[in-house]
Amino acid sequence: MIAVFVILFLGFFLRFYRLSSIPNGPEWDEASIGYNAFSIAKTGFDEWGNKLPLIFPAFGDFKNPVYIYLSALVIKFIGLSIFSTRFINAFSGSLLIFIWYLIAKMSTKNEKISLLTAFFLAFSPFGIFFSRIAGDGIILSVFLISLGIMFELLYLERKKSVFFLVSVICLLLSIFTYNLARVISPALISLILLLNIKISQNKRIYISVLLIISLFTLLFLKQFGVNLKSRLQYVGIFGDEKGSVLQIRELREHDKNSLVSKITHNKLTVYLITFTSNYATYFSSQFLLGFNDNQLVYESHYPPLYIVTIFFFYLGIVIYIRELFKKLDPKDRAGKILLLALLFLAPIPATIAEGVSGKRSLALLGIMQFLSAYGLVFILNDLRDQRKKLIKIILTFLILVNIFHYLFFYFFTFPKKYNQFYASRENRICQFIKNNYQEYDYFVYSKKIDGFAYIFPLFCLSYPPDKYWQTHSYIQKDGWFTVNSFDKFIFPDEIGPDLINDIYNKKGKKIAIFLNEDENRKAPLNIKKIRLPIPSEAHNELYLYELKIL
Amino acid sequence: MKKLPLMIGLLFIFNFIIKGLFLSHAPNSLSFQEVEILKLIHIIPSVDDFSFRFINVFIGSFIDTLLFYFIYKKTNNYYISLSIAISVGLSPWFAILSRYLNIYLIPIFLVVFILNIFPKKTYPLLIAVLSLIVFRYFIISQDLTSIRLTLLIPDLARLFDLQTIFFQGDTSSPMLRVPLTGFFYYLDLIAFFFGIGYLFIIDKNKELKMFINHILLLGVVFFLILPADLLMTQRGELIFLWIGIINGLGYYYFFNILKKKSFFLVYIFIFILFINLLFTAELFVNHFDKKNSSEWSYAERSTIQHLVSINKNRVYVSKSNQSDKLYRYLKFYNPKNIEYKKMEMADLKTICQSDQVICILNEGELSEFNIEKDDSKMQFGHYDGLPIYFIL
Repeated sequence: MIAVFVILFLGFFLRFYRLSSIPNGPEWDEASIGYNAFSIAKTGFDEWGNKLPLIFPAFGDFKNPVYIYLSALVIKFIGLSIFSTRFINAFSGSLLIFIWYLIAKMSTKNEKISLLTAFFLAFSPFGIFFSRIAGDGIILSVFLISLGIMFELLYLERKKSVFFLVSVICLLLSIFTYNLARVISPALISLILLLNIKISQNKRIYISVLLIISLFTLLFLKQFGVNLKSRLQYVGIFGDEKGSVLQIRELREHDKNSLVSKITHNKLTVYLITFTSNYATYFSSQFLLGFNDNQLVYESHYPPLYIVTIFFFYLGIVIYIRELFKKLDPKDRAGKILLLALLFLAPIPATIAEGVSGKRSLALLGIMQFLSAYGLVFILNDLRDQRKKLIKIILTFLILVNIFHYLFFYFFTFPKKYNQFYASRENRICQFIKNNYQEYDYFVYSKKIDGFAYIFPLFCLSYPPDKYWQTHSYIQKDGWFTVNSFDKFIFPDEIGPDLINDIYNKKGKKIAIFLNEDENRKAPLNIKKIRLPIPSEAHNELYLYELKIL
Repeated sequence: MKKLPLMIGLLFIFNFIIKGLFLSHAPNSLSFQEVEILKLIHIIPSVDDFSFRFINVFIGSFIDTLLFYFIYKKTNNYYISLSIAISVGLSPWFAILSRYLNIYLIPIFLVVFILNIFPKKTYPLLIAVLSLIVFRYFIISQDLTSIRLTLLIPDLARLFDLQTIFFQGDTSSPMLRVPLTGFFYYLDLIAFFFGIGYLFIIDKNKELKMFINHILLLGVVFFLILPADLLMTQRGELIFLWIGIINGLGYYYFFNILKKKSFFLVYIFIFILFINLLFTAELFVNHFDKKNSSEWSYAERSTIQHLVSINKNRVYVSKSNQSDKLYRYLKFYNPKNIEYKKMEMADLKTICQSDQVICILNEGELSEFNIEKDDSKMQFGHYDGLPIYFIL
C-alpha cells in the first residue's frame, strides 16, 4: 500500500508542480473555459448570458459543460487564475493513477501488475501533458470513462446494484465532458448492459439505468445534434472536399470512369480503407514512438509510450486476448472483454478525424500502461531466476533513463521551445493591460494579432460578467462569435488609417495600441513607442504605441 | 512424400502464372535500373518487348517454392508451408519485385538458401551476414558513406509501422508503390497478430523459430548496411520476408481456430481475402503505371515508340541534362532505322529547319526557338503530368 501512495504522491507532484507556468498560458480554450466557469460561479450565466447552459457556445466551438461546471466550483473558492482553470484536469489526471491501479488489481489480482500500471501512468508523457492543460475536459473525460469501468468491475465482483448505476452515470457524464466520449461511452454502456444481463440478480436496476440513459439521451439530442454534424464536417475524414473524395476522383479518372472503377473506387471502399488505415496508426510505431509531431497546442510533442515499453505493450495485447480463450469465471471474462473493448474503441474518435491526434485518442491512456505492465510481468515470470535479476536491472535502468529524458524535456525544453503555441503574445499584452488598466482609457489591438483577442483581458482581469454583457459588441460570422469591443477594449479587424483617424477623435484620452509587424510597417505612428518583448522563441514582434489625444 | 514434388511443381507453376500475368501491361515502361541491368547482361529488347522480365518472375517463383520446401522440412506440415509460401509469394512487395528486372531478389534467395542448406556447425547465420555484406559492397555500392546513422531509428520504426506495412506502403517514393496499398494486404494485419501469438506462445518448433528469428536479425542487419537512399521495399525486404512468414503462420493458426467453430466461416474469410487480392490487383494493373509513370520513364518510352513508328530517320536532342535521359534510352534501344545525336543549341537551331529531321526539345529550350508549347508538332509527358518532350 505504501508503494501505491508513493507513486500517487509522485503523480500528483508531477501534475501540480508549476501548473500555472508550464505550459505557459492560458491559451485560447483555457481562457474561454476559465472565464465561462468564472461567469457561472459569479452569476449562474455563461459569457453570452445563457443561464446554466447544457452547452457553452464560447467562440462558436460549443464547449462541453461538465469541466466548466466543475471548474466553477473551484473558481468560486480560489478565484479565476490559470491554476484554478487547470485544477480539475490536474486533479482528475492524478486520481486516474489510483483508478487504474484499482482496475489492474481487480482484473489481474496481481499486485506487481497493478503497481507497474500505476507507475507507468504516473510518469506517462500523455498523462502528465494532458493533466496540465485545461483547453477541454480531455483528461476529465478519460477519468470518467475509467471510473465507469472501475465501478463496473466492482459490480461484477460484488454484485451491488449501486456500482452498476454509478458506472453508467460516469460514462454518461463523460459524454458531456469531451467529444471522444461520444463515440466510446455509448459503446461501453451498451456492452455493460449486455454483460450484466446474465450476471445481474436484480433486474429492476435495469429500469433505473434505462431511465437515466433516456434522460441523458434527450439532453444529448437537444444540445449536440447540430454541433456534432458541423464538427464532423470540419474535422472528419468524411466530406466532399476531403482527401478521400479527391482520391476517388483521381482513381476513376485513370480508368475513364468505367463501371469497374465505380464499383471498386467509391466512398464505401475508400472510406473503409482510410478508416482502417487511420485506425492502424494508433497501434503503430509512428504514433507510439511519436514521429508525427503536429506542432499544435494539444499535442504532447513526445511519444505516448516510453520506447522501452512498446514491445511489452504489443505482447500485453496478445497475451491478454489469449486469456479470453482459457476457462474463465464469467465475471472475469466479462471484465477482460470490457477492458479489451476500451482498447479497441479508444482510437476510433481520432480515426474519424483527419490527421494523427494524441488528444482524440487519449482514451488509450490507462489501458496502454496496463497492457505494458501485463506484458512486462509476463516476460519476467517466464525467465529463469539468474536472468530475471539482470533483465530487471537493465529494464529499470532503461525505463528510468527514458523517464528522466521526458521530465527534462517537459520541464526544461518544452517551455522554451513551444511557448509560442500557448498564446504568449496575447498573454504578454494581458500582463501589460493588468498592470496599466487604470492608466489608459482605451486598449486597442486588432484581430490580425488574434481573432479571439477579447477573451484574454476578460480572463486576466477577472472582468465582471454583468459589466461585460452591458458593454460588449459582437457579431456572429461563419458560426464563430467575434467580439469587436467591450468597456475600454477595441478589437478592430485591422489597424489602418481609418481606425487611426477615429482614435485621433477621442480627445483627452490616453490610448494603448498594439500592432504586429505588418501593421506597424503599414501604419507607423510618430509618437512614443514602447517595444513589447515576447518572452519566447516566437518571431512575432509586437509594437506598443502610447497615444495621448489632446 | 510423393505429394511433396507435386506440390512443389504446382506451387511453382501457380507463382509463375500469377506473377507473369499482364507482364507487359504493368509496369509498361522500363525503369532506368532495368536499362542498366539489361546493358550488363547484353539483352536489348524492342520498345514493346518486356519478356526479359520473366527472369525475375522465374527467380521469384523459385524463391517462393524453395521457401515452401524448407519450411516443410522443418515442420512436416503442408498447411503451414503452403500458408507461408502463399503469404510471401502473393504479397504486393514480393510480387512487384518479381515483376521487373532487379537485383533485389538475390539477397532473399541467399538468406533462404544459406540458412537452410548449411549445417549448424558451419554457423550459417554468420555466412548469411557475410554474403549480404559482399552483396552490398560489390553489387549495390562501394560507397560506405551513404549509410546514414542519424535516421536509423525512425526509418527502422517505419518498417514495423502497421499503417505503413498494411495500408500505405512507401510514401517517400512512388516507384514501387501501388495506390491505396501497403506492402501487404489489409487482411494480413489480422494474420500478423495471430502469427505473433502463434510464434511466441504456441509453437514449440525450435528449428522454425530459429529460422524466423534469424531472418529478422538478418533483416535488421541488411537494413543497417544498405545506403539510406534506397527504396523502403529494397532496404526492408528481409524484414518484409519475416513479416510475410509471420502472416503465413498467422493464417494457419487463424484458420485452425475458425475451422473449429465452423467451416462456413473459413469459406467466408477466404472469399473476403480473395476480394482483397482482386482489389489490390485492380489497383496494380489499372493505376500503378499512371501514378508512377515518371519513375518508370513513361514519357521516354512514348517518345521512342512514336519515333520508331514514323519514317524520319534522324533525331537530334540537345546536350542539356534534361534531355540526357531520353538520349540514354534512345542509345539503349538503338532503333535500327534511326540515327540520333546530341547537339549544341546553336547547331540545333540550324539543323532543325529541315523537314527530314526530328528535333526533340524540353520545355526550357523552346523559348530559344521562339516556339510556344502548343506550337510543337507533338508532346510527350508522363501520364497525368505536364509534357516533357516537344517534337518540332
